Amino acid sequence: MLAPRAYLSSFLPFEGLNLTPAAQDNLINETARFVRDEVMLAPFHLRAGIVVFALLFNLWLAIARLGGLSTVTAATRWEKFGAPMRSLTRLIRSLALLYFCEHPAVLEKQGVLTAKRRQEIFRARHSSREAA
Amino acid sequence: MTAPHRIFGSLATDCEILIIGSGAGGATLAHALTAAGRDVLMLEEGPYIAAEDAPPSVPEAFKKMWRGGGLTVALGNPPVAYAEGRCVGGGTEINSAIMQRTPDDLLDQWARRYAIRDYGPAPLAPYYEQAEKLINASLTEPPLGRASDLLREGGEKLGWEVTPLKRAQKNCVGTNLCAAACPTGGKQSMTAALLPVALANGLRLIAECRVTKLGFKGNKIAKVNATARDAEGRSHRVTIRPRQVFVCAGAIHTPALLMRSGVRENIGRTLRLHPTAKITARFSDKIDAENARLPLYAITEFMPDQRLGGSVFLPGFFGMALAEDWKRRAHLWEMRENTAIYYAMARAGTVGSVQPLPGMTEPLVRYQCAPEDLANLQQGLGRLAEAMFAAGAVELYPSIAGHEGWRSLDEVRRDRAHSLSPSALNLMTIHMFSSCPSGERREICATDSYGRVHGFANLFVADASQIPEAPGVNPQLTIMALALRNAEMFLSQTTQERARAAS
Repeated sequence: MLAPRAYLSSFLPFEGLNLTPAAQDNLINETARFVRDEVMLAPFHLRAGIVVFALLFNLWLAIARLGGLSTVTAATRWEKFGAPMRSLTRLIRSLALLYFCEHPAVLEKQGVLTAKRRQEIFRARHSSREAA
Repeated sequence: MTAPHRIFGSLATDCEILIIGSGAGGATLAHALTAAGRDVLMLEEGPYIAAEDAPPSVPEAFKKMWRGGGLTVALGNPPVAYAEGRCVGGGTEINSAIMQRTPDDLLDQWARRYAIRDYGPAPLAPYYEQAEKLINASLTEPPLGRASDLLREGGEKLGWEVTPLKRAQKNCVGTNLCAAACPTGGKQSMTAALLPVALANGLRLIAECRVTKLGFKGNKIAKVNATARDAEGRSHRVTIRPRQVFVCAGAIHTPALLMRSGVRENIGRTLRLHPTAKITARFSDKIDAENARLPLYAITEFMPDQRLGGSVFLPGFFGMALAEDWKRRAHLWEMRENTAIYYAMARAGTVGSVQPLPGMTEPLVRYQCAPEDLANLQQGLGRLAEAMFAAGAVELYPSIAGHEGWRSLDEVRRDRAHSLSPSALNLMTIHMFSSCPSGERREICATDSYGRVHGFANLFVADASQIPEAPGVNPQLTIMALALRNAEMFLSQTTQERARAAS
């Protein structure tokens, strides 16, 4: 797993969304899949580096958990190892939040129009303007 | 627009003019050459996405239309994330379609420094006018939205020049979804404006067809090898025997293709870009940036060295901005309606490089931002922060890892006293150019004044890579103007050649 589930659930802002545990679980899985798919689209020379550092990050989280550290503390210590480590966690956070914040389930819970609905509204508005 | 041709098996064909790439340069060229009755074939690596099939969210657009899923980086300290369109229409499908001419002073300087013929504000003016007409570059009727107004108010309170920005638009209804492909066709991208006309005039366009190598016989291209994908995703070999070739694959992939094909003189070693840093600004009043148009003012007081403006604000982009330092910024998630994102863009002098990697699709892009360019950017960020506070911002978060944010101008000034740590800066750009500069000085230029690659009879470049240095403005209009100029010279020369041959 390129984006460890434990890490994703440590920062994805579920508070206030009132999602069921199953829906929350599902969203974490989808987010992890999106991060993986995105990394697979990256140029090979970047992808190779990301995969290596992601494996190390997973290993570090497992060791830290054995040592009794929380995921948040372990991730904070990981970032102190240097800029490449920070870049990896930032990349995971960026992609995860990109996906999460645009997810229809999240937008609906927030009472915000989904992008699909926005498209429909604007297409109708554009058509009437063209007709006028 | 009618859908491009698809490949169903191996293909070997010939054509008078082959255009590689369908972005601002390639599409403008195709429009001009087909209008003159020429036989033009265009190959585009990415897919064709019609407005009615526009991805319904930014994450989906990243996958379908952005090169490398949006994960493309120029390596250096700090690295610079760059974005490129990989679809029919290229970058024009995912940009904000902001149109600005390159400042006159810069055009004059480049004309002298690179010995570019018939270049400068006056000689280029007709091409700029033509380009503006083609994509209906025009100002947007107010109201432009609170995010735009705040930038204007901030700049004006400080007595700085603030300029409304023209966009390529026609009946645009302000979807704010430009980065995910315009769902209405209101944005006059290449698939909305120029390619439909070129197709009607006889352009043959093959999408999902990647050119792998140019084959030479002496100083002429004899054949072009490509790989195309059919509807089922199977690969097929494509061989084209063109009489003339225009490479319009952008500032990264034009030099990569030329270098892969053995053309190396002054190519790929002078990549320039506009390093851009962002500020997430929270105001006490509601802004509702995601339901407004993208910000359409820029603070132009410090141009060409710095331009300050507003970014597209969508939930996903907002999430990415918070990801810089989630611990300190997560609280903004609850205040989305009061938040907007702005940028400081620097006209940098740093020169980077593009290097194709054997067996790889994507080249290695390197860009080590020079200290003076980082200082320029830091100054720009400080000025942007000043404008934001003047507009009433409560707190500001620059795209600097670990930064605690600014809550007053004093804090901004305190930071200005120290230089930025490069490794903490998160930079991005969507403006890359100059990797194949034009001009008659053969010791520093890749092409002549009209895009013909020095030393080759039938090989041309027409895209951002021929802009000799960073223009300090969005480059699309300049790319289009130069493509029109290249096309005009090409048509004039080849018409004369034809007449000579006939006589």
